[in-house]
Amino acid sequence: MSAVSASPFLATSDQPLVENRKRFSTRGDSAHWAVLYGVSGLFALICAVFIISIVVSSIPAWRHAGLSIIYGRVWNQGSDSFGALPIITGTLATTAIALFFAIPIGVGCALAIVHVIPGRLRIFLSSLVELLAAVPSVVYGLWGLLVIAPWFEKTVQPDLAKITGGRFPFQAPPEGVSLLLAGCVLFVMVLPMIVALSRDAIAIVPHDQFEGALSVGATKWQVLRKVVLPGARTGIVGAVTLATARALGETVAVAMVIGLNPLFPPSLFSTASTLASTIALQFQDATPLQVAALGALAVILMTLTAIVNWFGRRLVRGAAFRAGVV
Amino acid sequence: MSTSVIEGIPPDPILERRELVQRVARRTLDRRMLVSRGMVGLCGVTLLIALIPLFAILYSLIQKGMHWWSIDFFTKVPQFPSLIDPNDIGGISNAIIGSLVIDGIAALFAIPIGVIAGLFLAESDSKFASALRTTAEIMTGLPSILLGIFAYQMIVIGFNEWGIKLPGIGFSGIAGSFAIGVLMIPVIMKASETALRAVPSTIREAGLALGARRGIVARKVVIPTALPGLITAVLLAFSRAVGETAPILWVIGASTMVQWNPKMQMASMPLAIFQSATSPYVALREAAWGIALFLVCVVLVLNLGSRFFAAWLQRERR
Amino acid sequence: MRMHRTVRLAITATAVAVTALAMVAVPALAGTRSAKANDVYLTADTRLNKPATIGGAGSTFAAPLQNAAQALFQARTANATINGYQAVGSGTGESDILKKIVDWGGTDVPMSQADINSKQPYGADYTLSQFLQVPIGLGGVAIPYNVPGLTAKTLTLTAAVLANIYLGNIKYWDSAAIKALNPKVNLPHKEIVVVARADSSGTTYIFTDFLRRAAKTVWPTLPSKTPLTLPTGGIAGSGNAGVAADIENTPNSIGYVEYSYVLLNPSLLKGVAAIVNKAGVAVLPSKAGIAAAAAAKPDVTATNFSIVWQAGKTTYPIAGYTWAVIWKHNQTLDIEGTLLVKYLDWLSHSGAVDGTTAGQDVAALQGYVPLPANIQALARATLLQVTGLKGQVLLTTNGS
Repeated sequence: MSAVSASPFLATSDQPLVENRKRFSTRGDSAHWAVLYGVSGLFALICAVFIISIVVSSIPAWRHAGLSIIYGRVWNQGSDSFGALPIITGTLATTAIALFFAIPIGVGCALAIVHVIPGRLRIFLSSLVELLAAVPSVVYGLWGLLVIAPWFEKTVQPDLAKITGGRFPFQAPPEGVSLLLAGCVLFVMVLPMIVALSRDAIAIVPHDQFEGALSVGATKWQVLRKVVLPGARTGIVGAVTLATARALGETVAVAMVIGLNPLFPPSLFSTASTLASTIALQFQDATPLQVAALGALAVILMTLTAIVNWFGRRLVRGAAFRAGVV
Repeated sequence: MSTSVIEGIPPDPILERRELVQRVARRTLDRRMLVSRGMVGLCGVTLLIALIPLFAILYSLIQKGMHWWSIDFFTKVPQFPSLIDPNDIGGISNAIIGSLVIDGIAALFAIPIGVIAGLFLAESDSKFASALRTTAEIMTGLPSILLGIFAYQMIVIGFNEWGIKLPGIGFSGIAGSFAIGVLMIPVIMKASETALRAVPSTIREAGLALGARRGIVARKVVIPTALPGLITAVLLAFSRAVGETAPILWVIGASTMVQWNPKMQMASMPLAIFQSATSPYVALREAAWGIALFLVCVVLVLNLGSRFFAAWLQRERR
Repeated sequence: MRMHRTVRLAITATAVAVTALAMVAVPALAGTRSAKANDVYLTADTRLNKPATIGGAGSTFAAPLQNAAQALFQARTANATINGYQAVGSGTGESDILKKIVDWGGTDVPMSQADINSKQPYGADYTLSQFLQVPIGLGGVAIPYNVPGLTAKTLTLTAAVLANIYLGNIKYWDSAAIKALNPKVNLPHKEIVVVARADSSGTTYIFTDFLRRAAKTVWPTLPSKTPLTLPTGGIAGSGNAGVAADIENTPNSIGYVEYSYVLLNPSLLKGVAAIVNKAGVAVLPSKAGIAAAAAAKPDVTATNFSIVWQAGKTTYPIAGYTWAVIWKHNQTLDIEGTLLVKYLDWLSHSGAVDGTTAGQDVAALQGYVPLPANIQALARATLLQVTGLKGQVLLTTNGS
C-alpha cells in the first residue's frame, strides 16, 4: 500500500493485529467513539433484526410441521405439506457437481498461475480469471439458459446418455434445463473464487521450501505435489469451503436453468429445485403458512451458509497466519 | 562408491542412504521428468479450460448483444412487442435510470456506514469489535435472496407485530436500495478495515504525538492516507451491487416509464435482464443480450477502473 | 444469422395470425362499434387533472393484454402513469391486493372467501364483500406440444387422455390411447415430458376445471390454482411465459398455456393440439371457438364464472375469463382510485365511436376475444360500485 512495509505492526491482510492488543486505549475523545460505536451499533442492530425477523417468520412452519420440513419428501402448498428433502437434495447435488469440476480445475489453474506462467503474464491471467467473478449472476443465468441449455439438450446430454448406456445417474430423457446444467453454471461461477483464493494460498508457501525441494533433485511436479500443495492445503480447503457457501446460496442463475421442480431429481438430467431458487419463486405467494415454510427454508439456508462460511474463513485466515504473513 | 573403499572406516549409513537415493533418482529421472512435464502441462491446460467460459460468455454477449445497441436503445422506454410489430422493443432507459437511482441511494447510506464501521474495526480490539467482524464476514457470505426477504417484509409490506407498527411503502425503489445497501455495508466494512489498518502506525502516532484527538487523527490523517484503498473498496462493492438481482427480485415492482422518484416502483438493469430472458416475447429474449452486454460493461469498467485508479493514486502519492 | 431467420419466421407467422384474427375481429369490431356509439363513459373527457400512478399484478393469462393496453391508455390519457404489470401469477395477484401493495390483482379465478381466509395478512379480517371483481378479458388455454417430426400434423386429444398424461398414467407418445385418437400420425416411442405451472396459477385452475368436468372419472381433484404434482421427469415453468419457453426448448413435451402465448411464440404454433369438445368435435384453439364458448354461457358472474366444456360444435372447450380484483372502497387517494376505475372501464370495453380504440380492441389484436356486450355491461356495473374516500362514486362521466 505505502512505502513503509517493514513495520512489524503492519497488517497486510484482514486480520486482527494480535501483537497490538490494547495498543490504543479508548479513553478520550468520546465524541469520536460515540460516532463509531453508534454506527457500528446501527449495523449490528440491522443484522440482528434481519436474522430475528427471518427466524421468527418461520416459527409457524416449525410449529406446524416440526423437523419434518427437513426430512419430508413432499412440498405441496395445496395440502399444507412442506417437506424440503428433495429441495435440500437439489441444493447439495448442484453444489457437489459444481465442486466436482471446480476443485481440480481451480487448483490446477492456481498452480499454473503461480508456478508455471512466467511473471509478466501472471498478473494478466489472474486478472482475467477474476473478471469471471465480476460478471453478474443474472448474465450467467442468461448465458446458461439461452446458449448452454440448447447445446446440452442437443449434444452433451444425448452423448452422455450414449456413453454411459443410460445408467444412473444419466437415465432420464435429456431435457434442456436440468440439475446437470445448473451444476455446470455454478461451476463457472465458483471457479474464479477458488482460483483466486487458492492462488493466494499457494503463493504463500515459502519460496525457499520450493527451491530446497528442487535442489535435492525433485522434479517440479513432485515439488508441487509433496511440498506446495500440502503447505497450501489449509488455504485451499478454505477456498473450497467459501466457494461452497457461494454455490449453496446462488439464486438467480440457478433459478433460470434448473426447472424448479420440487420433486426428487431421479437423475442428473431431470429438473430439480434448490433452497434459494424455491424461495425466490414462491415467496410472493402468501399463504401465511407457506411464507413461514419458505422462511424455514431461509433459516436452513442461512444456517448452512453461515456455518460453511465461518469455517472457511477461519481456514483461510489460519493458513495465512501459519505461513507467517501476519 | 561406498566409503568402505577407504581402509578402516566403517560404512556410514547416512552416506549409504544418500547414495542409494541418488542412484534411484538417476535411474528414474526420465520417467519423473516425463510425469512432471505432463502434470505441469495439465495444470496449464486447466488454466485454458478456466478461461474458456470467460471468452465464451464475452463472445456470446458481443455477438448477440452488440447489434441491439443504438441511440434508441439507451434513450427510449421499453415497449412490449405487439403481434403487429414483434421486433420493436423500445429501449432500456427506465432500467438504466432505475439502477442509477436505486444503487445511488444504496451507496449513499451504505458507504458512510461501511467506512465508519470499518474505522471502528480498525481502531478497536474489543470483544464487540471481533463479534462485529465475524458478523460482517458471515453477512458477506449470505445468499442475497435473504436480504430480499428482509426488505420485502420490512419495507414493502410493513411491520405490524409485537406492537410495533411500521407502515409499508409498497413496491418502491427505496425497498431495493435498502436491500442493496445492507448487502454492501459488510463488504465495505471489511475492505475499509483492511485499508485503514494498512496505514502505518507511525503516521497515526505522529498525529497523536502532536496532540490531536483520536477523532481528528482518524478524520484528517488516517482516512486521507487510506483513501486509495477505501475508494477501491467502495468501487468494488458498488460494482458487485450493480449486478445483484436476487435482493430486488420482488421489492421494486415494475415500471415501464423512466422513474426518478424512489418511493414509486422502478425498473433496474439486472431485473430487466431476468424479466426479458424469461418473457414470452421472442424479441425481448434476444434483447436481453443487449442489456446484459451493457451491464457487464458497466461492471467491468467499475472493477477495472477501481484497480487502475488505486494504482494511479499510489503513483501520484509517491 | 439465427436471429434473422427467427425474425422472418416471426413475421410470417404474425402475418398469418393477424390476417386470421382480422377476419374475425373486423366484423366483431364493426358490430360493437355501432352498438357503443353513445358510450359517454368512453367518450368523456379522459384527462386527469392531477398526476396519478397505479399498478397491478397477477395473472400471466392477462399479461399480454395488460402490456399492450397499458401502453395505449397511458399514451392517450394525460397525467396518467400505469406501472408495468407484474405477471406473477393469479395467486400472488390476490395476495398482493390483500396486502394493498397493488391497485388491482389480476386473477383468472375470482377470489373467494376461502382464498381470502388462506391469505389473510397478519391482523386483518377481510371479507369478500369488501372486494369487487371486474371481468377484463376472455381467452383460451391452448395445449401446445413439441414432438420433433410431428410438426406437420395436428394431434387430437381428449380430456381423459390429457388427464392421464398429467397423472403419469400415459407415459409414451405412442401409447394406445393417443394412437387411437390419431391413427394416421406416426408417433415416436419417446417419453412424454409434462410441463405445468410452478406457481399458483389461474390458468392451472381453468385447465383442471376442464379436466374435472370433462373427465370426472379420471381426474381426481377439484380444480385449484395450486401447482400440479408432476409425474417423474416433468418440468415446472414459472408463469405462462416459463411454460411456453419450457415447451419450446424441451423435445417431446406437452403443456398448457394461454392462447396468446402460442401466437407470440411462432415455434409453438407448429404444434397445438385439437381438443375434443362436448359435442365430440376436435377443435383447435381459435378466437371463434373461444367466442362460441362464451356465447354458450352468457350468464357469467363472479361466483358463476366457468365457461369450460360448453356445448356447441365449434366451441373450444378450454376457455375462461380473466378478472381484476379491486377494493370496493378505494384504499388509496381519490385521484388514483379515479384513474383505476377509468382504466379498468376502458380496458373492459370495446371502442367508442370516432375511431378511438378501447381495451378490448387491443385485446382482439393480442389473441383474446373481445368481451361479450353483457359482460362489458357487468364490468361497468361493477366499477360503478367503487367508492372514494368520501363515499362518492369514482367512475363518472365528467373528466376529473
